[in-house]
Amino acid sequence: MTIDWLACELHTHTIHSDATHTLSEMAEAARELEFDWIALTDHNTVSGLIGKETVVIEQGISILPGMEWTTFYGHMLTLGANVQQTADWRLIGADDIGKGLTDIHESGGIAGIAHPFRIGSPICTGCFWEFAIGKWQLLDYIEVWNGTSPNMKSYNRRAFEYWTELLNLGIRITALSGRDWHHSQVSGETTISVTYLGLGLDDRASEHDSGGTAEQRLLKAIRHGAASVTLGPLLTLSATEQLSRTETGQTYRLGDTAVIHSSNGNTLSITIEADFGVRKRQWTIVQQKLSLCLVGSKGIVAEWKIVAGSTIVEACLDLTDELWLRAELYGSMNGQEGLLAFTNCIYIEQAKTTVS
Amino acid sequence: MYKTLLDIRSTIIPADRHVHLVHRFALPQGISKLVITFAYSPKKLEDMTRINELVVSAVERYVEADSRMAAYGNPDYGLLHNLLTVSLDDPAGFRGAAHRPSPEQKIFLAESEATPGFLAGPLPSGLWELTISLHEIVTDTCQFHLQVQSEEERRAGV
Repeated sequence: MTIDWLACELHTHTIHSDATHTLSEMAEAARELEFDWIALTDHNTVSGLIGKETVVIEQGISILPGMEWTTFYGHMLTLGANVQQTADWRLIGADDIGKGLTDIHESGGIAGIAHPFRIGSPICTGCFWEFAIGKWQLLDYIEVWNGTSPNMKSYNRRAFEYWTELLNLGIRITALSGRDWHHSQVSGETTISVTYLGLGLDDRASEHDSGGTAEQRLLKAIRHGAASVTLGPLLTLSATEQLSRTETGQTYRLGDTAVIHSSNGNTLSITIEADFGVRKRQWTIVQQKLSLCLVGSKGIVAEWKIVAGSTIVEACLDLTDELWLRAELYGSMNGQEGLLAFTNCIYIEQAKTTVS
Repeated sequence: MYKTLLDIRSTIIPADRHVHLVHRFALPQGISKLVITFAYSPKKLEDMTRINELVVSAVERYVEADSRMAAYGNPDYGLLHNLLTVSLDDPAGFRGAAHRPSPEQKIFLAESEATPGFLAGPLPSGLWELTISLHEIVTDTCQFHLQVQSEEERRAGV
């Protein structure tokens, strides 16, 4: 099955809240940055979406409706058309976020924590997440990379580590990036992240993508974890059941759950692809040895040194007791050394009984 | 002709932070424009001793130990402000919000136009709510002035 990876910017503001640009100006800048979709997530209002259809036609970019719940106890991004009608942040107290999330889901929307560890009040009011979370299953995603040059920010490193801890507890939650776009002036050292969301292109719908409007399919891709985050190259990960030396079974992709029948001697063959051809005019990675890692709940499973160019690596590895797998790419970009890209997870389950 | 529907001056203190002040008022029939004037002062905390105390306390609360030294010295962190925001609901629901830092705001709504942040459209009679959300109060006291005025439709021959 082929996946169409759409370049998305999922956290933006306009003059309808505290930013300096209009939706049309931002959409034009986003199109120049070769994004396919932007989500408009103004603080506590949706009026910026009026005239959206005209902007979509004029600027040739798709726009997802959303809002940033800018509350006293945390900032939460909502995505989906009708959220404002049924969900009201002003009625949700520090212990009531479950109610707010239920309201958002009932409206057909999804929600994710924005910059969970950004410094809070009074320096940045409500920026640090302080809502008590009863049920993690109600949250659809965490914005683990916030702002420009996100891999250099200590609060994002903490969010990324926190995401890993949640995964290790068996909590399956998607990790995304968002520029928190308020203005378009950037310096030469600035890197801009992209969240790629995967939609199935096949007639046969994938595990998460069973049709609907483009907007609904994007929301489902986020909820499922069909997402890959990067400063440049697109990283993808797949796992194919290896039934015998020559025979393969099902292929699992980002967000899917792979079941290993190890009592049958079955294993998973892992493929990581780093595509350096995406949005090529927008970023540069100078020639160097990059580190491509397969990471699981027990740490690094495998590591490859690759040159800065499109690469595919494959391996059949011991995945005993792993709960999840993701790919990570490390190296230097614009003189800044760190994590350059990461995928969401393929979740792993060991089959309890032998399948005959 | 503008008619004043609401004119309130109030003083708030840091203990009031995280309170929503809901002002429920009746909008009569035949209104073509609603104007909200909102101002608060001071905006900025100037007391250096208090700034330092608040920054140290926020860094200790929100920043991991190994990143604190850099955080204490971050010049942006010393800029501490009060933040009060206005949002509006008509009898049917949400009509907009002004989540922006300016301490002096003039907001209007009419049938075909509205200030950014607000939804243009008919202004139905009934009970409306204007909420002031007290996101942050860092100064010892803060005064605000809220005024809501309405303009009647101009009828032919009147």
